[in-house]
Amino acid sequence: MDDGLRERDAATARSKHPFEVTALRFAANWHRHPDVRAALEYHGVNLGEADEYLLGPEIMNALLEASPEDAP
Amino acid sequence: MIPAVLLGMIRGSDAIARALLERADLKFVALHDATARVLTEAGIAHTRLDDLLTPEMREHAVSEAEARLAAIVHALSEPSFRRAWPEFSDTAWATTRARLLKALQRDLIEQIVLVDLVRRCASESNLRLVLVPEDTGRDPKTAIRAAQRLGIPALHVLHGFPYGTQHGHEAVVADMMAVYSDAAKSVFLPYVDDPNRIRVTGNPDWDVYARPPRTGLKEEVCARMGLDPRLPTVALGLTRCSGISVATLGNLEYGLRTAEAALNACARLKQRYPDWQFIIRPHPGGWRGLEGLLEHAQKLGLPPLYVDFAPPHECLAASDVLVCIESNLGIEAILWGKPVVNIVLDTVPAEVFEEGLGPLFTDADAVLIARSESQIEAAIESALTDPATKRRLIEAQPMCLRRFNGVHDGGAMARVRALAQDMIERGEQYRAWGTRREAL
Repeated sequence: MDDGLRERDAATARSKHPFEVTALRFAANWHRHPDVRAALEYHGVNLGEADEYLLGPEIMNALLEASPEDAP
Repeated sequence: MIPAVLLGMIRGSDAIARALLERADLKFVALHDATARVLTEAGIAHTRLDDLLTPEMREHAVSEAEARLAAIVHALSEPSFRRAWPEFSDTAWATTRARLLKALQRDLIEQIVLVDLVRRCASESNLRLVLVPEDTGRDPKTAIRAAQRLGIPALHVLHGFPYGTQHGHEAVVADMMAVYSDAAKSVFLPYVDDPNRIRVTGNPDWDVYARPPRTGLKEEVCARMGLDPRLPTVALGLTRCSGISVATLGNLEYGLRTAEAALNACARLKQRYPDWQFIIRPHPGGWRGLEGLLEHAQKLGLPPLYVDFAPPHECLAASDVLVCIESNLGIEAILWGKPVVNIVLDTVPAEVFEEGLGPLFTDADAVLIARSESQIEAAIESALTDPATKRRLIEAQPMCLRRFNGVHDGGAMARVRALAQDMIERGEQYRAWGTRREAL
């Protein structure tokens, strides 16, 4: 992933749990990947970007589901 | 054509609509049903954004979402996409992919409908402003983005003093933001390209606390609640577990456990002070465990609790002390000089309260912080009976006023109105950021 897609890492770095950092980084950036961006754009709105707030906890839950032993 | 405002507030939507109407002829379009309900109750003319929805638009959204979802399913299977996320194990990738697709299946249709509705609203009326209490949630953010693409600016009027988990606010999406104080502004400054995009206005919902409660209000509210205004009254404000961090997702019942501890303390106080009265106040965002808590209170021998859904200032007018869990209602109590007991239980993992921006209240604030059941009991008792405690809380109040609500002069609504009005009249002055964001 190029640096441009990681630009918001600093903003999520204060989260304490590594799953949170990973999940928020993914939610904030996946929709900008060239493979999906066109499918998410609708009348100039990136629907993935607009959905970050709901997707973040979904990804956190996915990571917890994959490794429940690492849950707090 | 009369300018239109797409309004997404729930609390305070009536007040801000009324304030705007005092200065200009405007039409209001409610983003949510909850907004429409408030406007209807206040007798303010409006339409609902959903009124513009036709069966054809819904069909179009379903077909658009299906096509897009199919393309995304394909893209997520591409090695190039998988390689971009090496930190995910194969197991984690599989669960993430499944959850992501399920969420998109739920969300894409609604978002496409919303974009189309905003566009239709803009084409059929003179839509000049999107006015929302937050700009991170799916619907307000989608509406803001759709409007910005049409050159219509958005104003985010902060709906709560920021604390704790903060990941939802990593970018200020609206073109302008109105916040309560310099302290609140400092939280959002890292997320704007231009500090002038954040205006310190104070909180319009808190203007009511710039003056003492009007004479007779306590008696009126107590009469409605079946309480005796002459007797001490304890209000317990409930919290809602947001579940937007790993810490809260792993401790979804912390609010419930904390409220139970508070009720246990109230039951012991009731034995020693039989004439004390208790109110329970659900979080405005909903409280799923309310019924269980009322049963818990009954088992403890507490008399039936009054469940309060009235405007916050009425609850505070009736109460002599507010017990809460890191709540903006606690700030409202402080603004009116009411003692506050803030519960941060030692039995709940510290991250729940300490993550992100950290706790709302500190020991320096005009609150008593209780970390155990016995401390809750002692704090409520001293707040109601100990003059030294009351004095300490009153002394700490001015610092709290400045931190939480800037000048606290009762003029916040006028400042928010002036900003909104300027955005309606000179929208082009506020559009630059939305356009620049697309170039990133």
